Amino acid sequence: MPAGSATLRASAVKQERIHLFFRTRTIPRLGGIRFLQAISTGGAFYTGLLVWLLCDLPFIRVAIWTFLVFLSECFITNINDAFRLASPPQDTLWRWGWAKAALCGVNALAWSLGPLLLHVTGAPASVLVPMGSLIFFVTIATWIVGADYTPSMWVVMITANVPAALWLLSFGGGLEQVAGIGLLTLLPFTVATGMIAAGKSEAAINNRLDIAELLEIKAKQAQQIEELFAERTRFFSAASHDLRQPLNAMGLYFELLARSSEHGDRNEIIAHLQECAASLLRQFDAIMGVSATDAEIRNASVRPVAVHEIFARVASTLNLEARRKSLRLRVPPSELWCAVDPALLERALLNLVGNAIKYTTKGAILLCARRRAGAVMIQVIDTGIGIEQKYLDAIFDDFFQVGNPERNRDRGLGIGLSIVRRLCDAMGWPLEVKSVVGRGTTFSLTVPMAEEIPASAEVEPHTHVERLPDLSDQPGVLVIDDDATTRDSLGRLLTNWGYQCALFDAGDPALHFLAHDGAAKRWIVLLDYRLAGAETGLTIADKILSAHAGRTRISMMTGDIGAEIAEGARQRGILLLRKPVQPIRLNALLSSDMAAE
Amino acid sequence: MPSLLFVDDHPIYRDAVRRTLELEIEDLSVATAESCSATLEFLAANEVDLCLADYRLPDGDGLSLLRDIKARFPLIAVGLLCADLSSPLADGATSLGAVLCLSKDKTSADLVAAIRIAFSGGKVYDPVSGTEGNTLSLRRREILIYASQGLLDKQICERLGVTESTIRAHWGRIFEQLQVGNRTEAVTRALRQRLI
Repeated sequence: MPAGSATLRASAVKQERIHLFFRTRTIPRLGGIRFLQAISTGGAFYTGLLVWLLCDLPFIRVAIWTFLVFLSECFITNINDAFRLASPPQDTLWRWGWAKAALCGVNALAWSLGPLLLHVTGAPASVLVPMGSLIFFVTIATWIVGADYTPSMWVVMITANVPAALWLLSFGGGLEQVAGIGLLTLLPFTVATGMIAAGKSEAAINNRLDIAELLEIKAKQAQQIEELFAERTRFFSAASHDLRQPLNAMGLYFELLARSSEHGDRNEIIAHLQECAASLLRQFDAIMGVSATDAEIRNASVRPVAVHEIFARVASTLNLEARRKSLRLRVPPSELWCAVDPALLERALLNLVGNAIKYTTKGAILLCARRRAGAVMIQVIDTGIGIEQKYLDAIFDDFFQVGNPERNRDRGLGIGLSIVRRLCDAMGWPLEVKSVVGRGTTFSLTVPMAEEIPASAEVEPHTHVERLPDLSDQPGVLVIDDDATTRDSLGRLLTNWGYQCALFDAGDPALHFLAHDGAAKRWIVLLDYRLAGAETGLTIADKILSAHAGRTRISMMTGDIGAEIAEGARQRGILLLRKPVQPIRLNALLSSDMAAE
Repeated sequence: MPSLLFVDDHPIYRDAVRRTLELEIEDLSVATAESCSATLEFLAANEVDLCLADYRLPDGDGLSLLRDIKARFPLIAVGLLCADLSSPLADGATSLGAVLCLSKDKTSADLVAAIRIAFSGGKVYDPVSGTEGNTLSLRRREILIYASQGLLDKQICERLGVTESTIRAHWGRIFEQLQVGNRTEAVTRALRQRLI
């Protein structure tokens, strides 16, 4: 259990104990009389009666003592009733607890008077009987009532035992002194049993609270699942409605197409069919976008990100669209950092800004961030058509669109803001919207602030630009061909692709180059089979393989692949490249070499 | 004559792609196969420049198929054309040295442009869904290819069937995206990054 909830639980236990402390059991059909009140008063009276019968005791003493006990019990009944009536707030509970503890003390004191009031000099029974009943009282008070509220337990234990014990000790001898010592020595045992009882009570309360908590969690989860199902159902019924329309239309158009014979007609129908297919695809993508968002949320990874970095990406994606509508997309520079999953925040902002562009016909859209109470508030402000107050909640629902009751799908699908809501709900980002019809709308999104990370420490520079190949460990390409045109065109293509190129018209200079200038590098060798002079590609290949086998890979270019050449190449593990070499083949060769690393 | 083998288990889609490519790209011969085993059988008997495969196949997955092909026929260029491109798939394609890694949700013109780029020695990787990259659009890459062949704007706009001002607007965006100042630099940078 985390620290916060542990203290919460401790205070909950405390409150529960006070409530239990005030709980009463009444005797059936005698609603006004508490069970314990009856036992206590009845016990006192019975004790008095016993002493009166056994010893020579004036009955008035029995009556006085019983009355005192009854009176003090009545106080407790009163405070119990008052507590029930007042049902006091949590912060005053402790006062009630102490007040009742004090009254319980008074009750205990009344009991403690028993040995004194019932005492008859020279009669052992008048000492032993009240002492026994006092012990009974303390035990019952400790176990049944005191355990729920420990302060009361200590008060009762001491005020019941100590005064009686001290009074009995004051006799300075005889049975009285023995009884007094007995009462005092009993005290540690009572304390021990009281502590055990208190522990048991606390454990019981904890169990009960645990169960209550679990039930609450269960109820909450059930409700969440229900809401999720309801949302899914709504989503799918809206989605299927939107998907069915173009499908139905396509069915009609196909029938028309089958029947029409005129060329112009057919072209027109085909154009409509294309529109339907495109619209279906768009809607499908949008729906998949929603489920993709759900998946992304599950895998969200929060890290410190510069706000301007996200803004720049949003702006570069949507600038063109804004410009197309002659709107200005203004993004003032921000130096704030926030702790978010950058992809999710970007998606939310893309939807908000995209939406702003869609519903604005003239003016500007402002995307800005400001510091707000330890957090970053990101705002998207437009000068668009605005949203009526009554629609402000509905705009975040799936497939809702302002001013598009006929659900014209050329105007978008109405999924964008619902994606934003999902993202913000899931990430715990407060999202607010303010709008004035005809003036514009402001969406405010608050995300947690983060400490700036110095540029060098940034975990993962987020770039999508394809990286240039690292030239240092990339092999070079060595071309051996006696035809100047082939050599030249290959050289130019390979240089353009970023490969270091070495071009030779014969085998010997190439071997010399491999042994000296090009010794430090790996080489992909493109070797022409038919060379000027007596050498063929295969003999040069043998020389290269014998001297530089580990760091060369040979491919042989040839116009015709005869069986002899193919066999020779196969034996040496050489690939055969058909001439003229196509760029795609060259690419395949080079990439398979890279992939082989 | 350039040749391509397209592997997909959906007969209608397979046929549509074959027809589109044969119609749009001159001289290209397109063969089709419906499974991994049929593909390997075909490649053992025929010469093919490029093998383009779907990921979901009845007797295996496209990436393993392409890996097999790469191992047995290193000189055949390979590419992936699949319905939902994910980053593991794109990473797999990258590590294979695939020249194409495309998602199916594209117009036929885009598909044709991508195949053209591959045959001219370039690579085309569609952005993985969810992470819209700042990559050069296929139309702009086509312009760069024509420019690298030495064509003037006027000739390019005739080929593409658009006005010269459109081409100039494209150039502006190309310079911006590649962070270069002129056409020569743009072509060089695009070649370096294997965009064309």
